[in-house]
Amino acid sequence: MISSLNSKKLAPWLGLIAGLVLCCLLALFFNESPWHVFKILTTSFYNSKFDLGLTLFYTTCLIFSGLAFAVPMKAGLFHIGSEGQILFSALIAAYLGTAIVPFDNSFSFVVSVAIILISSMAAGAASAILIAFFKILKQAHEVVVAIMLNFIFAAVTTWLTVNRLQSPTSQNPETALMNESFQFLKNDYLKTYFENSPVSVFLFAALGCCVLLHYVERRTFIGYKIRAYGANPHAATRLGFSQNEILMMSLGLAGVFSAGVGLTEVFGNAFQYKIGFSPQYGFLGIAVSLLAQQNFLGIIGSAFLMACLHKGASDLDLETERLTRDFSRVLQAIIIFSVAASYYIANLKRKK
Amino acid sequence: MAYIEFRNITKSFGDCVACHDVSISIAKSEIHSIIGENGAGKSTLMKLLGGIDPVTSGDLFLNQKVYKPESAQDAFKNKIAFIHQHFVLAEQLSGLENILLSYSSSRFSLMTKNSSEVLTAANQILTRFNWKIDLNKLVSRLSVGEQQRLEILKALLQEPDIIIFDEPTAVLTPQESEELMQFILQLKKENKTIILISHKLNEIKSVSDSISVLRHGRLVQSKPAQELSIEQMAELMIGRQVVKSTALERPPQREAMLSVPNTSISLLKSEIFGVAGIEGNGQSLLISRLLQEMTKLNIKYGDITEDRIKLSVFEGMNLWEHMLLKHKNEFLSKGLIFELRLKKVTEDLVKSWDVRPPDIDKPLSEFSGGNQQKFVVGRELWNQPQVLLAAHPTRGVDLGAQEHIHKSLLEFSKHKKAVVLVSSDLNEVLYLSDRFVILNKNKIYGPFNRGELNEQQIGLIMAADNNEGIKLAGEL
Repeated sequence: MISSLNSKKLAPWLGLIAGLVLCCLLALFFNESPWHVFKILTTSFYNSKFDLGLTLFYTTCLIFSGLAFAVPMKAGLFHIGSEGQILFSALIAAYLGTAIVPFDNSFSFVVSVAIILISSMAAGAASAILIAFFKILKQAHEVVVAIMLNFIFAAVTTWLTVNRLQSPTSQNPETALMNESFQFLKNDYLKTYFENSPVSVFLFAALGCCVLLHYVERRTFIGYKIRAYGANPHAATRLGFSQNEILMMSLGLAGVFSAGVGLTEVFGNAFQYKIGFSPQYGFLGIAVSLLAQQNFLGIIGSAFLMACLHKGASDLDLETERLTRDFSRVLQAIIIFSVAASYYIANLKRKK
Repeated sequence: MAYIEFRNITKSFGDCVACHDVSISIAKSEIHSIIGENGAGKSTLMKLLGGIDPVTSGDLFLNQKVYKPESAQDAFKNKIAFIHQHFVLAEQLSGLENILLSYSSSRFSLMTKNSSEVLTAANQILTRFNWKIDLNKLVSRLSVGEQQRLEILKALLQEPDIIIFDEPTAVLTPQESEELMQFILQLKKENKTIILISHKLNEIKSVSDSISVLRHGRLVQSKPAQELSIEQMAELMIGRQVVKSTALERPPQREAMLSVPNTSISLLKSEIFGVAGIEGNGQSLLISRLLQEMTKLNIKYGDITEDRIKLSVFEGMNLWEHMLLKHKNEFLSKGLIFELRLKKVTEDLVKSWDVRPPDIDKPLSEFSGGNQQKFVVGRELWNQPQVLLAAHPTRGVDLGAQEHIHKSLLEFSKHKKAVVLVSSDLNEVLYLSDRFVILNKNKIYGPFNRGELNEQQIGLIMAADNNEGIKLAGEL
């Protein structure tokens, strides 16, 4: 009994080590020193305060996108539409940031900020609820709809950025910077501490969301309702729970969390919308959430792990001669894969 | 001389001992019945013989030789056929295709056995037993009785010496059950050895040569059938005497409480209204009509669903969570869950219904079927609803629990309340209902009063293609 508990706790760590070892061995094929690769993968996330800040920025985004996957998963929905929602909500925030000019008083300023935050979240929620609509009205499978919407949102945001909102002062495909007064997170405490790295107070918001959801899941009826629907939709509808309400609520929440990623980028880091800003946070979020087995507090840990990996893998490109950015992604995938497999193996043992 | 012998067999799953030191010997070409309550270890024991699960300790002997099956295929090679309680048929394929599927070869092969050969062999067996099944029909179009025959046919084609029937009559009409029993006797004449698992004691008594009784995983008795009476069997199974509760005297005038739209059925206060019929003849439609009507009229109802696993059990959620989902308003204050009270109430419920093990933090799906059902029935009755919809309330439940559930249905119906009892177990409907209807192909026949029809007559209405001249209460 005790040993099986331990093996379950240890499993992901063993998986992590196995994945790292595998990656280093792969480096041999490229005539790179495995030790060198290992050092980069495991240490680059805290080389400097700036680096650690960058890792924490990734963590913030990954927590949000992990939540965007985990919440619908509780209702039994495999939600992979986060990427599209991130792009859409980020663009809305960036556009409103340039369009709204607050009057010169603090009330007007607070209202303006609120409008931007809420609109962005509403845009995220609306784009996610689209999936629910298709599911309710046409019984379309959420995975198919979400994949298609990802492409549609990517195309729409790109077109809008290049053709309508392109910054006049820039050669890159990006919108103009937001109004000066909205860039107040430039000087926020975290940023200064981490030597102006992209991290911002959104990190605390993300952590807060995890704790809040953990509480909601266990202490309020909504949490049980969604979980019950996820466990057995037929039985849940027989008990009189409304399927439509549950689908809209869980997907709507997921959209809000996707918007969290967009806001972290636009409001906390770039202050504008840059095409290609997201290294596919929406999809990395799936891995984050699955790794934590949809445990809301566990997502914090798995997001941080994934962020470290992401940082390490990106640095491989710069720090080695032959390993490309694409290959660093392969390594990242191997590590995720072996951690996930370790859970499976631990569970397999437990059953026997 | 023993043909099949279980010698000191113990089978455990983790900490849970399903069979404990069981020794049974079965002679050649006899019908040996194994009876016991749900969870007594009957099926587990047979799965050991069928090679589905390995033995933990003890030995199996087949024809005086040690027999150690490692898979169902091994059992097959030793000419043991297992007819499962739940049919193992591919519904989208025809009968013949299902038979072809059962000829699985150990090597990978894209070829199937020659279908015309198989068809002749199958037809031979069909004529031998005077059965009529259209083997080219899709399985989903066959009746339950025909599906079972197909399942038996599949087994017989392998020319087994030993045939295990696991609760074969659970889903059959009285006529079909009778035919099956005749068939089993015929098999015996052909020198097959039959092992019959059941808890329908009448049937067992009529066909068996010898009977073994299991209780809580232990063998309590193994005797020739003529030395055991039905009462003794029941007593041995549950370890005490069964007290059948008697039907209640009803007040002559009862008010109507609710009527089902588009039919002439109305429920009265203080009655148990039975719905008999073979499953799949409109039960679920009738249930959903009733539920809609009760929701519309805002009647508080309890709902023992027709399919426990599919409609009542949430995978991975424990007992108190199930309690919360049904009776949410009782345990919420300001949107937060009042956990102490919830757990206390659930604990009391578990105690009064004797749900085992009494662990309210254990997922409901991990309880045995009987205990799940006890919990569900208790939960649905907990807040004193006005109407109780009880669909197959005692399915998969042992005798002791059955008694408890029947008693509480009768008790519940006393207090100006109505019970709708949907059941494919005819005895249950006859025994409990004050009035009942019979469903056949979405038509509702009746209502009939208690004692108006006997079992044979009801069986005919249930199974007939044409019921002209019998009073009709509506169509679904």
